[in-house]
Amino acid sequence: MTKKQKFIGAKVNRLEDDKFLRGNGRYVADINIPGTLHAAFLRSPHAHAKIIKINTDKAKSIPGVVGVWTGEDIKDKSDPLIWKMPIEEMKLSVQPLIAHDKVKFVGEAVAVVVASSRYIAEDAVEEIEVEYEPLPVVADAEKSMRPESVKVQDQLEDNIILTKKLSKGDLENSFKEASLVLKKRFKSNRYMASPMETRGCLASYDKANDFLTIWSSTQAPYWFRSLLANTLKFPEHKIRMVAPDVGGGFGQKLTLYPEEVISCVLSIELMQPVKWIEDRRENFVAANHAKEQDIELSMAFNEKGRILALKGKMIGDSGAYTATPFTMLSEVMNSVVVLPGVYDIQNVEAEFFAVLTNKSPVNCYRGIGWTAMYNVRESMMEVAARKLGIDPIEIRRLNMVQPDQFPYLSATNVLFDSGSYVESLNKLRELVKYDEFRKRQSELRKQGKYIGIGFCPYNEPSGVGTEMARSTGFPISTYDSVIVSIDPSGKVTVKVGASSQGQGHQTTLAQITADHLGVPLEDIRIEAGDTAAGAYGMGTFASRVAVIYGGAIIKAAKVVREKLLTIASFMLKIEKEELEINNGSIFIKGMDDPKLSLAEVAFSAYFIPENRPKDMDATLESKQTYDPPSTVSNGAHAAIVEVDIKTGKVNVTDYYAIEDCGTVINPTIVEGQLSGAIVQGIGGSLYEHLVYDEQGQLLTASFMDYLMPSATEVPNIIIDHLTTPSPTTISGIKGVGESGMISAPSTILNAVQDALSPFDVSFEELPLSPENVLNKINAGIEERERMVL
Amino acid sequence: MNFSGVEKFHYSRENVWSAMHDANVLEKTIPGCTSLELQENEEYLVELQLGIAAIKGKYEGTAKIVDLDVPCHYELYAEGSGKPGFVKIKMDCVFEVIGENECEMSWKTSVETGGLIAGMGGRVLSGVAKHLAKKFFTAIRKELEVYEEVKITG
Repeated sequence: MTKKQKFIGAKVNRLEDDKFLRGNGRYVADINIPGTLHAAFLRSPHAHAKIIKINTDKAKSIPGVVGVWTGEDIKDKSDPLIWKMPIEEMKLSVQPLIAHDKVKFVGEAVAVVVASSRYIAEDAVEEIEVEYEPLPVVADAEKSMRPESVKVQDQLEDNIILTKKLSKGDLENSFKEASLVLKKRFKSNRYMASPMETRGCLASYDKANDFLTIWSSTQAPYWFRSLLANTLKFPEHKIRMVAPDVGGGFGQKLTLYPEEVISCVLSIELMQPVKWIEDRRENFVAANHAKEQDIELSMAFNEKGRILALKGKMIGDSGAYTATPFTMLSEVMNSVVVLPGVYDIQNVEAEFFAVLTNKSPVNCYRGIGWTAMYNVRESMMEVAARKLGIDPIEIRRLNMVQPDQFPYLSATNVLFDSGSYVESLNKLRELVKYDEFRKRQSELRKQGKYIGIGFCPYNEPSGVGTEMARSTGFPISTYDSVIVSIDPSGKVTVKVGASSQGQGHQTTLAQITADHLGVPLEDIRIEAGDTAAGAYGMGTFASRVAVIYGGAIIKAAKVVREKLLTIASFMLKIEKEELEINNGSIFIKGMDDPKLSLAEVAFSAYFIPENRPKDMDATLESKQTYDPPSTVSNGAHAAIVEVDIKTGKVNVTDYYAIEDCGTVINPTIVEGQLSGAIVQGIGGSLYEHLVYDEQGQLLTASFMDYLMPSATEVPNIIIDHLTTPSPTTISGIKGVGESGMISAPSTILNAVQDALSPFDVSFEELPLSPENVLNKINAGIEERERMVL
Repeated sequence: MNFSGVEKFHYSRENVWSAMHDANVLEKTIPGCTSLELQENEEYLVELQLGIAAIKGKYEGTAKIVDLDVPCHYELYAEGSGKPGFVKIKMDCVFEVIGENECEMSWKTSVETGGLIAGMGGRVLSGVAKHLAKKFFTAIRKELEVYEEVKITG
């Protein structure tokens, strides 16, 4: 017979790239409806101030201006953004759509202008006069926790939104019996996803049908439609939310933002479409920041290097509000989830604080919460290795969950379903030619050149379903649905709730559909990101789409395939079990000649009742949901760096990643996802930093001062795969993509510390800017000189 | 952010002092100043139009001079805001006689900024401040050439 088609695992070129490479992508800004009005926001220059008076007369008098709304004008037209996880002790943060009474961070909206063009709207913003009375500012989480601190949100008794302590095992004796106890406090820097496409939305209210459509650059159209309806108090079935092409999200577009709600409020009021496209200056202050955490970690080791216990205190500097719906808990609580990482440690304690400050709100960014914990834990692993005279790879191998331990339940309740932990580390060691590297390193040191190597094994809780979410402290449900349908011509449409921000769903989901239905790729269209399709889903985040949608597609494809085979069997008068579908045709198993095309079968289903069993429901469609059990992908990363000890500049020369995400759908896409995340991790470890002064002023609010890695900073990235299919998920697929952000910052941190080991350097914060590096080198030299004296 | 400087003048201390308290002189010499009016509460109402990089824009604000020791020491407080954000300035000025018709003014300024000026202007702020100070003192010297000393009554 003709060769059985196999798209899963194949390096299929991305089907969506044709349009993107030709510049034919269609983003929110590209959508034009006649009569559209344009919004522009006035934003606060103060981190904390009372609004005494706002005069909008001059702005309103400019020709072309339709109206100006302040917080007072808008507060009765919609609820504010109020959201909390269903965790009893969590305090309720209230975010007004536009600030009234007081502003709480630099960049918070103070007024919105709607005009016939964006130019006019921007000019009018300049004519709004606001009188502020500055209030004391708290721009540091630790200070914000003190009882005497100013309050960020007046209705709360203090600035701590949630604090909790979790404990498992015997901490006291573990630390008592330890031969080595290490303690480190590490500040992970605040930085942000900088998607190429900034945020934006277009709201259009149709008065005749009392129907609201909003196109938004979002990662979760279905879920956010629910939240939007709830906030606006507008019936959900009369809202359509569409995520068209979205140019990068990374978590930044996983918040329902005030601007989206305001655009809807104003479109309903004006009965005209209202569009707002964020500019880069706004994105720096008004889009969510990420990652800032201050962690103190204590680790107890025995003399062989085995970790006996771990104890952590995490303080998350979360900004002025808690983002809807993931909230400021996501950052710190995800640090708790990965406290032991890949290691078998059952004695753990964690205490976390999610704290308000007068800074931009913090929310998700790839590897949320994981980056900060890996930074501190993995740099301590290397210190322990040095102190105990054990090789940094060996100490990790020793402590890892071993091959015979799966399935393994971590101390923080994550079920490690399967994995190649030890194997990936061994493979990495070979890949980097470790022994050769050490020789080269010592030769170069004699010439005054400092190269170093750093490691970081990781695992990634992925495809998070309700089970894992709940077991790790997030009392939410997460599932998604798909609709697989075949039209009369035999072509396939797959409707999914998740939109793509560049992940390549059009390709990967089509590959899964193709194999499970037996149709060619070109006969499949993935329809995503439009609530009109009716395939409710939570959205695209947390490395979940391949696992969850993959599973749902497989379930739905099976139902549709059975129907196709039932009709074909009826038409051919051959037992269903003897038939199969391959490459868009019906075959008798083992035979070469197709007996029917799918088009013939589909046409019969729709139009020829004589060709199908009498009582059959012939709709060639199935809607299925999937809520997967826990699955955790894994791998290990290494980096080689060169540090210029005169300038403090770090150059990442080579980067290596071993990746095991179970069944691979498309190796090229996995490598693309990983490479992107690694570069984002390089940015976070060496360059990107949102620096605030004590007055809550953001000092790095443009790409001149907020440095992003460019092509010249990207090293040679070598990726290799291991495949341990998940025994728990329908497809064997595990999630992928965030590992670059979990591992790259600590891998590079460790490589730099290794390069500078003659100076006994240990960093306490990121990024490793030339200044930070040089200070450490100089302190190391002074220390050495002092010892000599 | 802090800045400081020392300026020498070939005029008497009293002469320079009074010029620096004269609204007409200040209006002409403060860089970008489009209007300066003395209010009843002894505060000046100031309008500035600056055209430099990220701090480009129109600013409105107030300035107040507090004489601590006439004609030796005064402090100037100014604050203004515009589209790019806000600026708050405190300037401490000390005058010393260093010869006949020769005096020296030592100044220390602390500047607080907010909004875009802080976020985008930070990197150029010290350069801009130096540039504006130079412009101001050049203009003051020019004014002093034609300035008739007003007797200090304070």
